[in-house]
This record gives sequence, structure tokens and C-alpha cells, in this order.
Amino acid sequence: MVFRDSLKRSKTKVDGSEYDSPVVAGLQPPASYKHNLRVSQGDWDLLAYIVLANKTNTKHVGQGLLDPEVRTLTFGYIGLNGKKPIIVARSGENHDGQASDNSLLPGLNDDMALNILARSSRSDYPNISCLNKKFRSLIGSGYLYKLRRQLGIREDWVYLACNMMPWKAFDPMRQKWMRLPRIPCDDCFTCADKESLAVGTELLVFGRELSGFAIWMYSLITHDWSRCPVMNLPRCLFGSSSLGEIAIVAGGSDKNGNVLKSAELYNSELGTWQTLPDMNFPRKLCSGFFMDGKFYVIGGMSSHTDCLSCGEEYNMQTRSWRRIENMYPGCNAGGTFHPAMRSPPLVAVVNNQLYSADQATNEVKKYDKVNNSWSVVKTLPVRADWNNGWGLAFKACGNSLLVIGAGGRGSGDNGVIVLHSWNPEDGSSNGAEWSVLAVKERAGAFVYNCAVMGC
Amino acid sequence: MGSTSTKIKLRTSNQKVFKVEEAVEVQSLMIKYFYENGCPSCVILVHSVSSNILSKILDYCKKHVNSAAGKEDISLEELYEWDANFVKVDQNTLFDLILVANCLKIESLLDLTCQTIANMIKGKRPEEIRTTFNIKNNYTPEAEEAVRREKKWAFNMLGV
Repeated sequence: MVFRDSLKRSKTKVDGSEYDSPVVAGLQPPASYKHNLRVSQGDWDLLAYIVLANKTNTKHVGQGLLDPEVRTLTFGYIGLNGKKPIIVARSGENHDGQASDNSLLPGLNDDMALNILARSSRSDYPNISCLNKKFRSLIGSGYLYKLRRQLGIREDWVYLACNMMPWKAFDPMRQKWMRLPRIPCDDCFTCADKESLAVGTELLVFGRELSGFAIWMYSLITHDWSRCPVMNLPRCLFGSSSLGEIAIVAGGSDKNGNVLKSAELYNSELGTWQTLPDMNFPRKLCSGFFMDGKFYVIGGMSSHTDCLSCGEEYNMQTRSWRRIENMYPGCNAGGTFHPAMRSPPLVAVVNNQLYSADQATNEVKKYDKVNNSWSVVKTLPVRADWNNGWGLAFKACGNSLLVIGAGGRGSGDNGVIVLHSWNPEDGSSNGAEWSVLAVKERAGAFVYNCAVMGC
Repeated sequence: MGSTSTKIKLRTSNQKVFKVEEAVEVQSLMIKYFYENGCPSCVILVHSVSSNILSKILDYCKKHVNSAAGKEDISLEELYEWDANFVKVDQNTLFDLILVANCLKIESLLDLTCQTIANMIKGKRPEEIRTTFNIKNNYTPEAEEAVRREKKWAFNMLGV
């Protein structure tokens, strides 16, 4: 709560000589007001509403961070004399241009300044934190990201690890690559297979250390790695997805190779794992996604030999799983390899519309929620069948589908990784083509992990 | 404009009185509240707000209500363009608009004006942001250097 204190104002000034009492902060009328201005109970009810409306209408801006004293500055409401309410639009300064004390943006109260800063680009935050100490503690608090979630503002960055390239972040807006620090893990974790998931302002990397399953977490706020608490039932090869600050992992394989039907919810704000009700069936090598506020898990295998064509839907309100037959058919078709060799389904959700990339036919398919069926809408810009879907990322990024994979011959030490993007809702049905968003040289030929962090 | 007897009036600090029309009632949650809750003919004193700002705000509300109600033949693109021109004003005016939009709870205007200021931050270096918004730097030179170094390390830009 360091930041809370820094936002506090010592005094509330009121201009206008007839109102020399401070702005009313509470809902109880001070005796002097009642006496001098003949404030009716109705007026106080009104005031109560306005203070309340002020809290709710700003979509909880500053809730838990800004105290009521600061909030009244946003909306000073004074002098309730019968039917003559007075609204005071006031700023953090004397309104004649001189810079004031310690408001974030001189001339505006901090509620408004926070609203503005939440709307600026997340790539500007490092610069903003250099402005002064108050901005630094604001950025360091991570509060702006919470505010962005409330306001529905998000920018997607791609986090990528390839065989020749440790974790890097890519900002599609500015076309900039950023290097992440090395994970301070043991060699076992470095070499073993890993899974990744972006949730809130964190990137989780799941893997194995000598001591067993481990999760390393990169924080966008601190720009550093730390250990994330392990799951209640540690696992690998699970299906997972995130929605805002929460993520769900479902199924997978425990340390003894048992296929699981358990699921857990991770809250990145609290840093906790919570066990959810079990799925109807165990599965591993499956994929997860959120669509219309529900979590889904599809595909994968129920044992070493049996593929699953069904999916399951988790309703967070009712805390229940529902099986959906034939949601991901064709799992036994088209592969010359054993099904266990194939990657988990490559799925991505753009604006609540599910797409998949077929590892055998190299096609992008669109899911029809009503008929529980799939239709081909596009050809992949890379070959997915070469590696049974491994080494390739198929993700949603903004309004586009992203396919990240080896470019050109895709081998050798100088492998090139290409980020292809396509907006599936781009008006003309067949008009838009894949475009190359970025090319990363000397990254290798194989995408190990990829996660898109939208915040 | 209808009957004036049941209208809320806004009075600015320079004593100009504005009748609030339906347009503003719809756009402003605050005035809507006054209107719907037994205060239909009061005068609201809007302190520290000049009549210029208030008339600009009323213009905005009218434009948006009229276009939403189909009273004005304007496409969404044209409305965006109108909005874009509306916020082509100096920074003090923008700040005033934000303050009043916030007080009167005109959500769409608040979104528009705040986004406009946010866009002024985009891509600027710290010194430029400080100058633009008159922000005081309270770092010692050593502390600032440390912050910059930390930032450089954390956001290691690797070029395009």
C-alpha cells in the first residue's frame, strides 16, 4: 500500500468564501451544514447517491487504492441548499496553469490521470516510470494493469522460446523484440520439455527440475523470474488457458504417468492454485481455451493408446463439467505416426470464435458452436504435418490468428522463425491472406513454447 | 427545446446559465439522475468551468444524441471524424473537458478525452512527457540514472 499513501492529499481546499468548510467526505451531515444551510434529509440522500455513483460509474477506478478523501476531489459536491446543488469541477492545481504539488498530471486529479495512463500503451510504461518517484511507484504497483482489465483495455504481446533462442517478447504494435532475463533454474529444467501459459501480467513456464515438477514465473511488473507455487497436484501435458487474471489447467499426466481428470484454477493476483471439480474423463496431451466465459478442454488421449474426440466444458458459475461428444473429431485420421506422437490440438480463440490448425492436413478450421462442426477456412502458411504439429505455435493475438514456425528450409544453425498473421474476420471472405508480422533470424527452426499475454 | 420550466440549468463560474436539453440528460448520468429523482428544475452551479467549455460539452452531447437517435444523417465514420476534430484543442481545454465530463458523468466524452491525452504520451521520451504535462522530476541525478539503467536492462530493445 505504498502507493496508496503517496496518493493521499493532506488537505482539501474549497474555493468560494461562503463554503469554507472542507468538502464533505462522509454521508453524515456535519452539524454546521445542517444548521446554516438548512440541508434537508433528501439532499443528504442525494449526496449519498452521488458519492456512490461516483464510485461505481468510474468503474471502480482507484478502488482500494485511492481513499475517499481523494475521491471527493474528483467530484466535490458541496452546498446542498435546497434545490441548488453545486458541482465543482476542480483540478489538482489552481487552474491557472502552474504546476502543482504532487498530482500525477498537474491540472488533473489522480483518478483522471490514472484513467489516462491506463489508456496509454503498455510499451510506454517503462518511460512513464522514469518520470518521477510517484510514477515509478505507480508502475511498480502493477495497478494500471488492474485498471486496464476493468476498462477492457488490452494489448497482446507474444512471448516465444525457440530452440536457438531463449525467451523473448514481441510487441506487434511497435514491431519490437525484448529479451527476458534467463530463468534462474537448474540444468534439468533448462533441458527438459516445458509448457507455458500467460495469465494476468505473468508468464508461467512449467517444467521439471531435479527435485520434480516446477513452475517458473516471469512478472511483467518486476521483469524478473521467480518460483510460482506448485499445483495441488503437479502435472505435465495438461490443457490450459487464461482469462484475465485467472487460468485453468485440466488433465495431464502426474509424475507416475497417470492420466488425470483433475483440474485447477490459478489466480495470478493471489498466486494460489485451487482444485476444481474433476472432469468427467481423464485426458492428457489435450488443449484448453476460454470461449464465451467458459473453459473448454478438447482432444488429447485418455491412455497411451486411446484418442479422445470429445471435449469438456467447464462452467465457472455452476462449477460443473459438461461433456461435448465429437467436438474434435478426426483424431485417428490422417497420421502415419502413432497418435501419441502428435502435438496437442492447435487451437486459438479470436473474439470468442474457435479455430484449429490441423496437424495432418495443414488447414485452418473454424468451429461452428451451434452445430458442433468444423469447416476449413484457410491453408496454413507453414507445414504442420512435418513434425506432427510440434515446433509450431497457433495463437490468437488481437483480432488475428498467429502462426509461428520455421521459415524457408527451416533447418540448420541459422534457422529463421516467422510470425504469420491473418485476420479471419476481415470482411472479404477469401480476400485477406497471411501476412508476415515479423521474422526472427538465428532463432532456430523449432518453437518450443509460445504464449500471448494480453494486458 | 421544449418547455423550460422543467429543465435543469447549469450555471458556470462566469455566471452564464445553460439550459440542459434532452441531449445532455441522456448523455450525462449525473443530470439524468437529478432529472429523474425529483430535481427537474434546479440550477446546478458548475464551478471553475467557463461558458466556452460548457457550450462545447453541450455541442458534443447534442451531436451524439442526435446521431444516435437518427435525427442527424451521419455515418459512424463521420462521427469518429467529428470526435477527432472535437478534441483538436489545446491541452488546457482538454483537461477542462475531462474534468467536466467526469463531473457530469458523460462516459463517452470521458473516454474520448482521456484517450486523446493518452495518445499524447505514446512513444515519447521521459523528458518530453515531463515537458508536455509539466511534471516535476523529483529524482536526484544519481537516482534517475539508476532508474534508467534498470529500465534499459529490463526492456532490452533488440531492434526491429
